[in-house]
Amino acid sequence: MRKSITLVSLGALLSLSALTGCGGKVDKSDKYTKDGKLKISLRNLYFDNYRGGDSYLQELERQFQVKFSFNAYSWANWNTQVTGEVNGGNTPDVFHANVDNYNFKNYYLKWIDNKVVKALPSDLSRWENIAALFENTTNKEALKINGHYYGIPIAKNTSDPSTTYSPFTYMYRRDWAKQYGVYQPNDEYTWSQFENLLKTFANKFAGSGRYALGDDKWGYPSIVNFYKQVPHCFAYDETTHQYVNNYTTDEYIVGLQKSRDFMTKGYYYPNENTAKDGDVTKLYYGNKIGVLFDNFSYANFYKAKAALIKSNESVSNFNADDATAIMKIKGEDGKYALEGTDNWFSMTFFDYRISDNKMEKMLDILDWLLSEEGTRFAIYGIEDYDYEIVDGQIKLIDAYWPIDPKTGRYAEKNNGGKYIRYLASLGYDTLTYDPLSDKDVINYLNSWDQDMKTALENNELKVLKERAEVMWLVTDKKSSYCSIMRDDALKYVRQYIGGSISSIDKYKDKFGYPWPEVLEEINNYFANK
Amino acid sequence: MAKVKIEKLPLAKKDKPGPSHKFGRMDVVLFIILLVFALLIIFPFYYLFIVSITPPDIYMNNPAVIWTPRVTFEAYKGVFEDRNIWNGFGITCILLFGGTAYQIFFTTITGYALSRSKWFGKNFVMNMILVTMFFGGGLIPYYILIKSLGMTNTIWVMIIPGAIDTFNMLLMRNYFASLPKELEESARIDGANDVQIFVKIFLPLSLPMLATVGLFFAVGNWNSWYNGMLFNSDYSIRTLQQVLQDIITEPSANIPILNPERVNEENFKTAAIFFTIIPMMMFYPFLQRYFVKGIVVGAIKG
Amino acid sequence: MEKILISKKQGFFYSLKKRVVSSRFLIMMIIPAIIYYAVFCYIPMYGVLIAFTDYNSYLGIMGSVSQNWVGFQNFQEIFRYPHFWDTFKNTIFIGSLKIVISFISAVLMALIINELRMRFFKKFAQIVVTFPHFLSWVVVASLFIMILDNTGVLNNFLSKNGMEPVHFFADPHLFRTLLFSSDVWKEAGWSSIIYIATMAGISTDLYEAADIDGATRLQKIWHITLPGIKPTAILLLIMSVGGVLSAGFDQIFNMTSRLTNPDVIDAVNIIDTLVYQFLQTGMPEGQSTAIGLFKSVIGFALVITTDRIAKLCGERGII
Repeated sequence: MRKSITLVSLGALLSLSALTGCGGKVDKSDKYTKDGKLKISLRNLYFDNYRGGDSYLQELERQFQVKFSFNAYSWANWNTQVTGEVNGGNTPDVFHANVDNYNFKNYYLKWIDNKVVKALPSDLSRWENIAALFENTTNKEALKINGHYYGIPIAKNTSDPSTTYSPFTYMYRRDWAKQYGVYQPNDEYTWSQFENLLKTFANKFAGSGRYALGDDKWGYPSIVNFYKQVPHCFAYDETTHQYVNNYTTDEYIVGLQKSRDFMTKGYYYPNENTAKDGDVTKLYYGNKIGVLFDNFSYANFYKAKAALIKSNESVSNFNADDATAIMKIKGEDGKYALEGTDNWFSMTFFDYRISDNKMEKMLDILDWLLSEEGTRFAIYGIEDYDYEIVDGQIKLIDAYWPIDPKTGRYAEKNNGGKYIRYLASLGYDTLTYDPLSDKDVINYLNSWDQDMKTALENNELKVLKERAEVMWLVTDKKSSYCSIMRDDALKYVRQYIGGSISSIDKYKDKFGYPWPEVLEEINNYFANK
Repeated sequence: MAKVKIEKLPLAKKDKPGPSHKFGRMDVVLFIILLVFALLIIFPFYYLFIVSITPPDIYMNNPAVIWTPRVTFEAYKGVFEDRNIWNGFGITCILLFGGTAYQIFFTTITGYALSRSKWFGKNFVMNMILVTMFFGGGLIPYYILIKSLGMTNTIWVMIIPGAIDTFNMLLMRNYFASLPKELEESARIDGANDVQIFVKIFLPLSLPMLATVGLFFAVGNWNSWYNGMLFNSDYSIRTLQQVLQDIITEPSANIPILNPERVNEENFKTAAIFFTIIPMMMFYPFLQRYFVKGIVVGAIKG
Repeated sequence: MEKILISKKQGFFYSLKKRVVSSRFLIMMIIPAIIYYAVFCYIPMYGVLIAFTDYNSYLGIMGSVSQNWVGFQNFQEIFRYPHFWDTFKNTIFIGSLKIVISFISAVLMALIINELRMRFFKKFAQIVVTFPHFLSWVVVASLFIMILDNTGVLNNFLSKNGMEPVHFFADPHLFRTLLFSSDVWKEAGWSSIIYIATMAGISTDLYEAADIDGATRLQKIWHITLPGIKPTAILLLIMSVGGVLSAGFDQIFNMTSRLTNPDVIDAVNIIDTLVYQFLQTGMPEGQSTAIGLFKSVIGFALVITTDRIAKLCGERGII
């Protein structure tokens, strides 16, 4: 009797709960402030601690009759927060998601299918700067579904889409190389010269807490790059015309053995496996690493230079340029190897439920900020107040740009325009005329870029890139497992190099289910097509 | 009045528990074991503190510092000047005082009601509550619920869903159940109803237990970050732990621009960690005395 | 015959009414709790239905149930996934060993503190050993990594003195040991409090009687103190059995550098880390919910079983 009462009540409670779960549609119609400004909520990773309140933002809001609210995602929990919002139906009007996920196309289609994100108008001619942005975006075809884009890819470089490789490369201590007599002119090293350099460094450093070679965590093991064709799971076998497991190809395994060799010989920093992203880079700043593999964007390069200057204050005639030289290494096949990437790695999305009016308004604002006039506004501020144009040259008005005593450069201003511009561009297109940026660093990075372009033309550069047709392919098993497969594979690779997988045979055995099924599915798909 | 009654209780009487003995060989052994364990616990905090005060040039050359010839308190200055940390501190204080009081209230009345011998539906409610300790619906329905209650982006989301903690509620229940039945019976003969009995007799007797459960809740609130991370996008209502987590995981975006000659990220991070544990270090020794005395959770026998 | 039935019925409702009226104040006190558990625990429970659907956030949960119902397909998928059973075994192993170790360490700590006769040091030590409980694993794990890493303080000291370094974060067995010891480091003092309090509640008459019989200290511990804490210990053990499958996600997540340390991760992968991985890599929501449901069912069954066993052995259970 008592038990049945309990069961019945439990059932009643659960069905009640199911009924209450049905409701809860969110009202997303346009809302206005008292003075008639359209309210728009924004959430983006790059906002960091910016919360508005500056006069530039007010000016922008007045001009377009809108009222923004700013919120930022937290770096550590970005994916969790976006997933929570999407699955709970709580996305802000404009939000920001990571595309760096191997499984992104699957998300993208799902979000379109599940009515999470709103399509941009098919005709973008009204917003010519945004249209131009899409023109400069690599692999944009993959984002076009039924003639519509469903978000704006935040691109790294709007002016030069030809750069299809990433600045993931080696920085090294040229000063130490000179000191130990292994320096090669122009920082160009052949494979044997590179190995020799590592060996020399390792011998000199033994027992001093310094290490010859360190990869920042995300890029470990970088040595394999010289031996593989694609960065991730699916390599293409030209002879059989089939997709194969990249991690068990013969060439990959040679690279794997090479990396293990470097680890056992003590060239590699021994804590790669416990390090967190950024740890090894910090060691380099502290003079602990001879050759560092990392992502040398402008910001990172500048940071490294500043950090090394600080940590070598006591060293007389320390040359920061010698400590932050970019090393150009050719692999055993005589080619440089760089990972190929798209020039965007995150996207700005619009909530499906917002009105066309709001979306158009938002596009108007972004379009203006991408224009010449808007860019000047976002970087310098207001004409004749923050800057003036003398003979076609922009000149800052010093009274409004005090020098920051901590950095010795112009103080940064809180400018809402800059942050809103981040919704469409990473800001690389503005570096060259941003008064806050260090021109020497930009020139050095550009010269490296030029060298690589020349190498590409001379067939001396191998760009590691998965074929777009398979990278953006969405099939049942692949879209479920590819991301886990990549994570697992990286784990096995690192285990083999560290020695916890003892032999190549055992390493190969790790690639069981779902690897064969997924590869079969992919190959069948292309065979039927 | 309340104090007198506590002293009358047989269980709370003894401050010095256990058998009495002269200091012997065994005490030396126990002393050494405990000392070693205590040192093992103290050392990491010591290391943390040393890192926070080591000047960057020394730290850069040897991250495994256990002693520093020069010290700098620049990082602490940075922490004290950081608006985000103080804001998080304020929010956490609201949780600490408001939230804890609210949680104690609901947990206590529930525990009391469930501790009384017989009333209609008691077993049913008890079983229903126990089931929730093991089954949950997962993240998605919880998110939808919080959203439809309108609690996203408010401070309430860090308080209201924590009203009753089942484990603490059971502690309270067991404590109430362990108090002598005669107290209730004699009061009932005097014509008091259940609410009066609870407020006038049982509550004053259970102050030590309230302190214990209160401390459990207070610590939970002090360390609270998950609900805030998931449901709040507004930075002005981040808790102290959320701010700290952002500092630890993404220093470059969350550490203010500092003078790099005097202080580096590592200093700031460790100083910030220290800042969040200092209040606990300060208050805990005092609370602890009250608290261990209070856990006549021997009540758990009840 | 009829009359009896009617009077019986009257009797039932009469007594029901009487019981409700007589306990009306207690029922009033329990109403907030009923509302709380109904809203925050029972309403979200319908979410387990996601495990049987191909979830679509636009349709919502009930919409997915009516339109995207897939039955047990999600369960078949997760059982097929090779890591699932490895993870399951790991979880049981780590979870149960953790319960045993933390139980033993808490009781030992309580005995040491209870037995020690130095009042001042005892108070000081108790404050120190309980303190780490208040720290989050983010902080504790970064402390352990800073100190015990290959290049940390300890190994720095060892190598300077010509000794072999200890690779806590590279050897799976050492790492598991570290996992258990860091748990003891953080929680032993805290969990001992409840036992110390219970020991304080044991009547001193018993000890005095034992003194008269000439019992040694160890004998008194064995025959009086330990039996005295037995009911508490059993209650806490039953409660913790339900958490076997939880096995400490926070700890493992942070100690393995957010699950990225390849040398040790296979030795400590648990169900919760698998769910995290599923959520992060865009596996269908239905599958991660299915894992969660599976975990709840097993955990619940374990608690019921332990509870029955305890009752069979003559102890007081919780249900």
